[in-house]
Amino acid sequence: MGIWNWHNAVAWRDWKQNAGMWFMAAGVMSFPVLVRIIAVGLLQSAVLAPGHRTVAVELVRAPSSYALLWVVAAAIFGVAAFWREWSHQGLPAVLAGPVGRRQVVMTKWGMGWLLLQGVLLLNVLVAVLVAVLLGEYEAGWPSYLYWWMSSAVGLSAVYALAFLAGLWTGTPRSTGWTAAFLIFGVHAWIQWMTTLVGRLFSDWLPASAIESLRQWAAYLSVSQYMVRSDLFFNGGSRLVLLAATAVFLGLAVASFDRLPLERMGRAWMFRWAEKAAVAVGGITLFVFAGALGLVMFQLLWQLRLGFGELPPATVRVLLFVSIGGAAVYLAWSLAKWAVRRRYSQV
Amino acid sequence: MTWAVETVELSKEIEGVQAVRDVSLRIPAGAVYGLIGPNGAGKSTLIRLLLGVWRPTAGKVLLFGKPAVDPTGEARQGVGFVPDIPVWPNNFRVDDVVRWHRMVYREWDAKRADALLDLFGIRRKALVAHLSKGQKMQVSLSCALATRPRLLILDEPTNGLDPVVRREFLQLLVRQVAEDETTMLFSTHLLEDLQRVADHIGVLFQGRLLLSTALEDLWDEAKKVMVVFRPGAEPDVSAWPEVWRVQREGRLHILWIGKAADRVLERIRALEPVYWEAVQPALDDLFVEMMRREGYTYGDLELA
Repeated sequence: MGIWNWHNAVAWRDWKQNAGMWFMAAGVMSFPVLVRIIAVGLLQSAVLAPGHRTVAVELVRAPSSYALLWVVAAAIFGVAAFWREWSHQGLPAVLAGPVGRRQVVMTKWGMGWLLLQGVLLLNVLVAVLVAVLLGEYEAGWPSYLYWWMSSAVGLSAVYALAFLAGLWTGTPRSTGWTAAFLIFGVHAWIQWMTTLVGRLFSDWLPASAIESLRQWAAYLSVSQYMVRSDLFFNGGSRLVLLAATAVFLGLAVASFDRLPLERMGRAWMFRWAEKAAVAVGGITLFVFAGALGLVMFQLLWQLRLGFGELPPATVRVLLFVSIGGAAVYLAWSLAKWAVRRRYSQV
Repeated sequence: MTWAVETVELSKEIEGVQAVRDVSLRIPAGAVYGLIGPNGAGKSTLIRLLLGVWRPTAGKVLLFGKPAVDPTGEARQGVGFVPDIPVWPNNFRVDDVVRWHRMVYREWDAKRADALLDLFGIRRKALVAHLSKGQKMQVSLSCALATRPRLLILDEPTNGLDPVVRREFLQLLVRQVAEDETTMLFSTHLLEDLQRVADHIGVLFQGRLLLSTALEDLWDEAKKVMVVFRPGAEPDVSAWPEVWRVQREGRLHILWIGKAADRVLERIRALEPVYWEAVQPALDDLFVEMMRREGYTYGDLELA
């Protein structure tokens, strides 16, 4: 008789195939603490007392200095859940056996999340221990408890988003890019778009609206909550991150239940994710092409034709929309032609 | 009768293509069912639907009366599967594959797994990725059989195997299945394999199940009849609905009868022919006739 225990089997399989990525994530996460321990040790041996004290205290006082690497590590933990599934396409073989889809996704989630939280806790404990041992810890116990809990919530949200991105995509490359964009890039993308449009139409659009949109965009990238201390140490933000984690987890479980395995090896497993990516690409092209066209027109208008003032806003908007629209139409037609040509040759 | 597999108007659309359409199939417990069809007929799709790996667009699948699309996976407990291309993580060794099966299947038989792997001469420490296709199939089959399945599903198991390994593989399969009274469903496009092991046959073409029957019944129903009619009393046999095709060689008519052969033979006898003889057609001839009737073409080539 065999031991029927799917939890152990799926967890063991995940361990076998993901251990390398997990170690890498743990290494990235522990890097700041390790470096600081070494730095403190070196400073101690060099009898540079004031220096090592500052470093040690900073361990707890300035968590934002850890944030980037920790976010990267949480993203690796999240992405690892499906990375190898897409690279060797072995998921159907698992689901052909007596294991339920929900159990598989929950085990994958649980393994990565527990490891992430374990490594985080270990890092926080080591960091604080070092500071306490050096006798320079002044922030107080509640402070680092607060730091640990905030980080746990923030990194959970990052992990959840990376996990979801990994699940929605169907190839390792698209998993990496999608997770990176969703975690680090959404706010930057919105900020670039609004800045570009705002500058082109600065005489017409209210600067305050553009600026507030830029500010609000920061709330869309999970990484920003960790990197920016004003967001990170805000009670409301932590609630938002907690809610986001729950929503991402719920979406992941529901999505995995409907995972169209017949689409494996495609850039995106779900058609609407593919459409959303095309929409993001289309908007980017529209704004960049429209902006480029408009800038060139304005240069021609002012320098070659000798008009001192900019053309009226209506004309510029029309030009911007026309050029942007034409570029999107051209790219779309080219893409369709390329797809037709590719398949006609098969 | 207990049905090991039962599908009700099962359909699956993939990327706008109807891969399986309205397939209603019943496989009795204990049967060895050979699913045959040309490339792209939908055999692998049907198998994935049976295993609940893919969700049907319409219809349902029951395995021993339980829905195959089962959130707990319990319906697949006791269902062994040998895929056409066994896929395991790159760092998995044979031992790891064995361990996975041991952990998820309740009826795991370690002794049988060891015996089968020894029989095939597979090293336990070998990386699965480094094994040949035949060896991977042998590992998969050993593990599937060691789960002591009530139902064993194999997707083109002999595809890509050399003739010697193929023969041994099938012999072993039949022996083990007979020993355990396991129901077996296997897909193939090699009629030779099917004729060697199956007692039931299903023909799939363009996603439709053209035929699903016991081979015994098929031989009763389908016949190749050679007949010489009396001069002046030659009927238009091609108009008879049971006759798939008529070939003529001088006065000799060769009739391919797909169903209700008894009825046709009765009509022939009533015409008091000069000579007639009914023989059992070869399975591959029958299959080719069936495909021809469905207008099976490959590019510009059409079956003559």
